[in-house]
Amino acid sequence: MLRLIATRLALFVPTLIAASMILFIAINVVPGSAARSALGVDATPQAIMRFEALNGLDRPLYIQYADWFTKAVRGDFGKSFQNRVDVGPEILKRLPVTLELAVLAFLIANLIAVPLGAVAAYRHTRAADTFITSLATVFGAIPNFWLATLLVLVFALKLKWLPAGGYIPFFDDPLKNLLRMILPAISLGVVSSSLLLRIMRASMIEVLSSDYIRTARAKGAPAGVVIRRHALRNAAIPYLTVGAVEFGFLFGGVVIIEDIFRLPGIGSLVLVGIINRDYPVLIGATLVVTVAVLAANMIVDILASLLDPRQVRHKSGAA
Amino acid sequence: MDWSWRRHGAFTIGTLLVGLMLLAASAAPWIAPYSPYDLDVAKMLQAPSLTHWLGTDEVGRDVLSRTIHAARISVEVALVAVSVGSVGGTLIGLLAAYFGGIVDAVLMRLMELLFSFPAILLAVVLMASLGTSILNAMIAIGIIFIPGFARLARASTMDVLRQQYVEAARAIGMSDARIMFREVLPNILAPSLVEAAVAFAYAILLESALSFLGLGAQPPEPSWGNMINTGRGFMAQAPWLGIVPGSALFLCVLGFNLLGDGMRDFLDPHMKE
Amino acid sequence: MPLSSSIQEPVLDIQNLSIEFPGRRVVAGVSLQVGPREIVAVIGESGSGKTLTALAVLGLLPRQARVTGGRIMLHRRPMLELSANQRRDLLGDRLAFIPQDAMSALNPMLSVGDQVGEPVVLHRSSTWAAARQIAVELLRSVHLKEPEKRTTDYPHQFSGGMQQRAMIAMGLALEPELLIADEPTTALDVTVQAQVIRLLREIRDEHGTSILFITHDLGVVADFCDRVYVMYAGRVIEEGAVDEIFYNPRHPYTVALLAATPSATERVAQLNAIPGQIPAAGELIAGCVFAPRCVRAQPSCREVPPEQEMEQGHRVRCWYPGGKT
Repeated sequence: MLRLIATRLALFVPTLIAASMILFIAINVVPGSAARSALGVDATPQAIMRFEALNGLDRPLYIQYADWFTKAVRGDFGKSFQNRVDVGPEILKRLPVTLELAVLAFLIANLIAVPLGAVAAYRHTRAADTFITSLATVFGAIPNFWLATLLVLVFALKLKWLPAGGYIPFFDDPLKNLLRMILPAISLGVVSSSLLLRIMRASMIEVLSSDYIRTARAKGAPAGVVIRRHALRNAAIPYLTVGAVEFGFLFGGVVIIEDIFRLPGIGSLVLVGIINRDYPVLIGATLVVTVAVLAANMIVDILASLLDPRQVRHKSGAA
Repeated sequence: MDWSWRRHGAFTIGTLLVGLMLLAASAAPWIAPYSPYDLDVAKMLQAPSLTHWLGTDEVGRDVLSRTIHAARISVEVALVAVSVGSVGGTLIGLLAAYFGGIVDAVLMRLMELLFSFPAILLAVVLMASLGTSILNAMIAIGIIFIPGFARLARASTMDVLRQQYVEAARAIGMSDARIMFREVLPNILAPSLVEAAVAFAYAILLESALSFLGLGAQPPEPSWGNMINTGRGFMAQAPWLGIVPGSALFLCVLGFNLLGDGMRDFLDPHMKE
Repeated sequence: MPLSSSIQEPVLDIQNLSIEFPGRRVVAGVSLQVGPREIVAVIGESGSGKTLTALAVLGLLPRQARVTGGRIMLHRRPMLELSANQRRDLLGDRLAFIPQDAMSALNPMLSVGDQVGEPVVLHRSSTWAAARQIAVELLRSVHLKEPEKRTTDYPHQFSGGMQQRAMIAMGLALEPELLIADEPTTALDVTVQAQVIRLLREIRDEHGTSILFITHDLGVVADFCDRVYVMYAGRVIEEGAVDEIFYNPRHPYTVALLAATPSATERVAQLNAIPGQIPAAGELIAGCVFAPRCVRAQPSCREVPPEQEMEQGHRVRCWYPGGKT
C-alpha cells in the first residue's frame, strides 16, 4: 500500500515538470506579443525592447524556462507584468475560492450521478432507465456557461432568491458564502454529472449481472441492500477512475464560470492573464489548475486501490 | 423490442438535429430572413414578433438571422478542428502502434500528458499565445482532440495488426508505409468516425466557450458563444438574446451526441444492452 | 433408501412447470418432487432446462425468461404466487442456493465472514457482530480450518474448495428446508469434489435438509442421491430411484448417457456416444424430443409419448422403453 502511494508520488513529479514545460512552450509559441499587449498598440520599438529586457523575454526560451523553473521550485512564480504583484501569493489567496467551487460542483455531480446511475442500471431497459439515460444525454449537451446564464435569469433576476454573483469567504459568513456558491456549483456540476451518470450506469449494469449479485438475491437481500452493500462498492472502482478525469474537465470549467459569477478565483486569474498577455500570471494560474487535476487523479487512484481488498491486504494467501 | 426502438428514436432525433444544423450552416444567406449585420437602432431589443420571429438584439439586428449565420461559424470551426485532431491523432496513434517500443512510449506519454490538461484551459492558453481569431480557435481546439484520436487509433491499429492479412502483407514484402496506409488505415476508420461525431459536438461547445470569453469569433461576426455573452447583459429586459442562441447551441450539441451514440450502437451491437 | 413422493408430503413440489424466453419455450411441463430428507438429482446436458427449473423455484430467472405455466410449492407455499417481499423472506432462510462457481458467486469486496453471516442479519435482524460469530461456527461446521482467522479474509484469499465450503456455510446459515445446489462441484478438482459431496450428505444426515442437486455428471450422482430426474430439451424424460436409473434405465437417452459416463470400474467410455445434437433451445419438434437422435425411433415417435410408470416411482416418457422386460 505505502509502496503504491510512493510510486504514484514518484510519477507525479516528472509529470508535473513535463506539464509545466508544455505550458511554457504553448504560451510562448508566438513571441513578442506580451510586450505589445502590456504596453498598448502605440508602444515604440524602444519601449518594447526595454520591457522585454526588463522581464527577460529577450533570452532564448529554454533559458527563460530554466530561470522560471528554478524560482518556481522555491515558490517564486515571478511578478505580474501588469501590476508587479507577486504571482505566488496572489494564487494562494485565490486558490480557496476555486477549490471550494470545484469540490462543491463535483459533490453535486456525484449526488446526481450515483443514485440516478444506480437506479437506471437496476431498472435496465425499463421506463426509468430510458428517462434517466435521456436526462443524462440532455445534461451532457447543456453548455455550462449557458446554464449559468439561465440560472441567473431564473433564480437571481426573476425569483430573486439568490445573488447573481460576488464572493464572501466561507469563514466570514458560511451561509452567505454558500448562497453565492450554489449557482456556480450547479452550473458546473449538472453538466459534469452526465458522463459520471453514464459510467455509473454502465458499471452497475455489469456488476448487477454478476454471480455475486445473484447470490445476494438468493440470500433474500432486498433491492436497497443489493445495490448499496453488494453492488455499489464493486461499481465504484471503474467509476472513480473516470470520475477523476471528469474532475479535470470540471476544473477547466471554472475559467468560464468564475467569470460569469465574478468569483475571484484561479479561473478568473487565468482569464486576466490571457487578456493582458501577463505570462507569469498565466503560467502560475494554469499550472495550479494542472496540479489540482493531477493531484485529484492521483488521490482517486490511491482511493480506488484502497477500496479493493484484492489490492490492499495479503496477509494469508490461499491455502 | 421497444428498447431498441427507443435507441433508434434517439438516433433519428440526432440525425434530424444535425441535418437542421448543417442546412442552416450551408444555406444561411438564403434562409435567414435578414442580414446578420444590418444595424437598426430604432428597432433595438424588440421582443419576438411576426416581423422578427425571435426578436432583435441591442443594436436592432435580427436574432434569428444571426443565430442561423452563427451555425455556419460553428460548423466551420468544428470541421477544421476535428480534421486537425483526427488526422493528427490518427497518424500519431498509427505510428505508435505500428512501430511500438520507444516510439510508442514517447508518443503516447506525450498524448497522456496533453490529455491531463483540462481541455478548455489548454484551448484558452493556446489562444493566448496564438492570438484571438477564429482560425486560431480552430487550431487550438484541433490540438485538444489529438490525444483522443491517437489513443483510439493506437488501440484499433493494435487489433488490426493481430489479424492475418497484415502478416501476409509483410510476408510478401510490402513496405511499412504501404501496409500502414493500405492495409491498416481503412480498417481503423470506423471507430474514429464515432469519435469524430462526438468530437464535433465538443468542438462546437469549445468554440462557443471561447467566443463567449471573447477569445474566438470577434464581433460583429455572429457566434452562439458571443451572442450568449451579449445576451447575458440583457437577461432582465430581453431574455431571448441569451435564450435563442443558447438553445441552438444546446440542440446542436445534443444532436451530435445522439448521432454519435447511435453510430456506436450500429458499429458495436454488443454495446446495445 | 428412496422415498416415494406419494407417501410423504414433499418439501418441494413442482407441477407442470413451463418457462419461456421470448418466442421459445425452454422448459415444457416439468414436474418434480423433493421429499423430506431426500437428495434428488436433476441430470441433463447444458440447455436441458435443469438450471432454469432451479432458478424458477428461487424466483431468480434471467430477466427475459418468464414462467408461463405450472405451480411450484415449497411446503405448501405457492412460490409463483408470492409477492416479491414474501419470496425474499423465504430466500436464504427456508430456501438456500449454492451456485456453480463459488469464486464468482462470492462478492470480492466483502469479507467471507460478513457474507456467510449476512442471512442472519437479513432474516433474524441480528447485529453484524453476532452474525460474524455465527459465521465462525458455520465455517467450522463445513470443516474449514481455523475459521476464527478466516472470517476476516476476502474471497480471493480462499482456494476453490474453501470458497465452495463458504457458499455451503452461507446456505446453511438458517437451517433451510431445501438446499438447491446448481453443479456445485463442476469447478473443483476431483478430490475436492468428493469432499464437497460428502459434506452435502453429512448436512442432510445431521440437519435433515432436503437437497435438489443439479448436475450433468452421472458419476457424482450414483452413491449420493436418492432419486434422479433425467431432463432432455426442457422435459423430464425419465425419473426414478437412483438404483433403478443406474441399473435399469428405460429411456434410450438415459441408456446413452450412462454409456457415455466413465466410471471407476468400467473402461473409459467412448466419447460422443450419442449421435446428433441436443436440439437448440425451444426448437419445435413434433412428438418425442429425443426421436431425431434415438436408435429406437419409429414412425409413432412423431406423437408425444405418454408417461408410463414401469416400476413404483420409475416413470419414463418413451414409446419403446427398454429394460428388463
